[in-house]
Amino acid sequence: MSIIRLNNVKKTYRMGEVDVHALNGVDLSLVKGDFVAVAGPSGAGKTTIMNMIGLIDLPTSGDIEINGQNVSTLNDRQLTEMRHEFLGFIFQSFNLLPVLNVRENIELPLLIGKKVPSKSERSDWVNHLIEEVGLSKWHNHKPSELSGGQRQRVAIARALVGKPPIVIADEPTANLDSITGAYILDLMKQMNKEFGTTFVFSTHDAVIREMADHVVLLKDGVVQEEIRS
Amino acid sequence: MILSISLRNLIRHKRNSLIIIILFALIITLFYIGNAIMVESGSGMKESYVQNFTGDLILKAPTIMDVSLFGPTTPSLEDFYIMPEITEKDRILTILDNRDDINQYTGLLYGAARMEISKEKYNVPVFGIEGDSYFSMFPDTSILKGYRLETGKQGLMITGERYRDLLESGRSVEIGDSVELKMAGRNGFRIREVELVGIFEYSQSNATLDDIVLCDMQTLADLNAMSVVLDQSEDISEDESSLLLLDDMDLFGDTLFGDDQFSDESGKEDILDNLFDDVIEISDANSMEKNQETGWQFILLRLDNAASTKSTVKDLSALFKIENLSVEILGWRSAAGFSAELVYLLRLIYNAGFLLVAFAGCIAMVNILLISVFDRTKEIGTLRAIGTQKTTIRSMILLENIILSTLGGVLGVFIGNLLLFYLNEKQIVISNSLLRFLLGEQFSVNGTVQLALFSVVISIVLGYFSSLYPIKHALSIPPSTAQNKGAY
Ligand SMILES: Nc1ncnc2c1ncn2[C@@H]1O[C@H](COP(=O)(O)OP(=O)(O)O)[C@@H](O)[C@H]1O
Ligand SMILES: [Mg+2]
Repeated sequence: MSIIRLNNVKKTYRMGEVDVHALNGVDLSLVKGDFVAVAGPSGAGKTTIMNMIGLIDLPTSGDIEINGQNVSTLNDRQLTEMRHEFLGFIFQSFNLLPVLNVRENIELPLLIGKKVPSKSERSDWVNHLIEEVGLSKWHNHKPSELSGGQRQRVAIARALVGKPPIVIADEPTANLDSITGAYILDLMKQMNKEFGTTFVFSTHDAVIREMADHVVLLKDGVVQEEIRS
Repeated sequence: MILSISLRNLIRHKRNSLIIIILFALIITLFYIGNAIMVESGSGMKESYVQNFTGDLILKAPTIMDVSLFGPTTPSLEDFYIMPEITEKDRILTILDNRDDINQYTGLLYGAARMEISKEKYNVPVFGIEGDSYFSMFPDTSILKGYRLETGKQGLMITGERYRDLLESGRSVEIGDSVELKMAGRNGFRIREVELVGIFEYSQSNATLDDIVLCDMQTLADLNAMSVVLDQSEDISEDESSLLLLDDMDLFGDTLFGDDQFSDESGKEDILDNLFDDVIEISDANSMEKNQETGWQFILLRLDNAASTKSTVKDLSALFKIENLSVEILGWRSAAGFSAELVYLLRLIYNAGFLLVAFAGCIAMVNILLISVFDRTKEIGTLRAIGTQKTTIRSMILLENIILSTLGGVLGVFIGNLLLFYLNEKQIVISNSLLRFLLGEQFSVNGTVQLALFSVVISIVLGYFSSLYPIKHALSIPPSTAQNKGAY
């Protein structure tokens, strides 16, 4: 059963006078609970496709379905709500809020939604996630006091805190050394197993993609090959 | 949480926050001090006018032009404009007598006269009063010499300031001296000699009040030639006929109030004085003991509770309307004429100027706020990407700026009070005559809680308006900005 479906998705960026075709008609069907890798060289369109699936940017043409819902008809408020309810996002550059500490960064998505869980519910769950990502000792620290690997672990916990069915991670290990990167991937895989969350991550690292159930090879904005294991 | 994010953002961007707070503080200091000074002069003036001179409310006959107790407020089209008297006075007085909220009233006449006292000549505003009710309505006026005018008796009173002025110029002034009042009318001049019965002092005074001369109503009515003469007096008609000689001679110039109206330098005027001495029989006090009833141009009202002025005005106008009485109600400001309106006008002008300054300040503020939004582009993009609605982003930024503008406003009021305290302590003696007139002899201004709160509200309103454009910009930041390169 596919939780994410892309149908002839194209994305064109306008750079001054020239059009850059970042995605050139992508068809994709991702299965619920899978650990999916989108792999390809730099400039292949990985970030673009992550933005499309993560609903933080809209395609120039083509359809995207998340959880059976065609998103092209949604307005900004509905898209925002969908990002909040169905999707978690992990960025290459972590994107934590500098003024908040570890605990607060993780808790943040719970506080900006329509329904805010009770304080005790929040703190139990956030504590659990902090433990899961191994940051119990650091829960009071600000992002600036953490290493890159620690920051990305905070980002993973933040992406998971709303219990979304899908987590998108755009090159989550690109800013980390290979050992830390491997650890982050392990953590994601573990969460994927534990919560049944569908993970879609992009990478240009051939080693890392081996961990995925489903590898999508992207080049010049088109899917070259799909490998399912 | 939103509040705490906002607060922490403010602390994180200390420099920006500080600049904005200071900017707000400066603008609000300006507003606070300026208005504190003007409220003070306004209220000081209100005090002295209402307590000494106008009462709480003033009734008058309807007139085409705006009229104060000193006659028309705009230069009169007619050279010798005499205020109409109130018609159906008795019916109006009955209404006033029956009202519980009206404590006292007194009638009043006004005329601009040339006064000669101890050989000194002045142009003065003269009020014709009924001594008993007048002084019981203005009990704060004190008597320096002599005694108070009594109703029905003839006499004239000058202010202590004028008395001292006379003494300084080497004149001797005694109670019982004869004072000459000369008034220009359509038919020429009228002159009366009146006895100086007293020298009085207002509890709070200013240049306008110091000028005032009080005399019995009958004398002023004669000078105004508006008395209803029950027993036609011989010498008054003689007066009138002899005065006809001077008719059509525009000797007093164009305006009744012009400074050089009776200018001593004018040779014309000396001739005029001689002419008067030769031609005109000057009626003395005794010749006027007649059974006369004068009309009133104004009725001054003292209310039980000055705070309920508005409701009294409402009730009275309704009553007058029902009774079909043509009478107008003035507040103290209009009644006091230009000088009191001046404070009001000054305040308007000041605040119009303030608005310009505030506008410029807001533009500077908008720029700083925009920069602070630019600085956080990726942060805002991230918040949007993880599912923060635009409305929440709006609240966050608005909250930040409301906090800053509130702090700035409070700081501004604080600085304003410090400055006022400093100025009060320095005991500055005011030399500028206009400022002196407005503020008294020594600078002493204190802000009010009301003004302080209002200033902070103004600051918050400014904060709100300067946030609108930066917020608009922040909301236009797309979620994909979160993917932008560059750490933050
Ligand atoms: N905002 C943008 N404006 C213009 N061109 C862009 C923009 N984002 C990406 N591109 C272009 O689209 C192509 C795909 O970019 P991207 O999706 O970032 O690739 P990847 O993440 O695989 O490196 C590249 O050629 C890139 O230069
Ligand atoms: Mg990329």
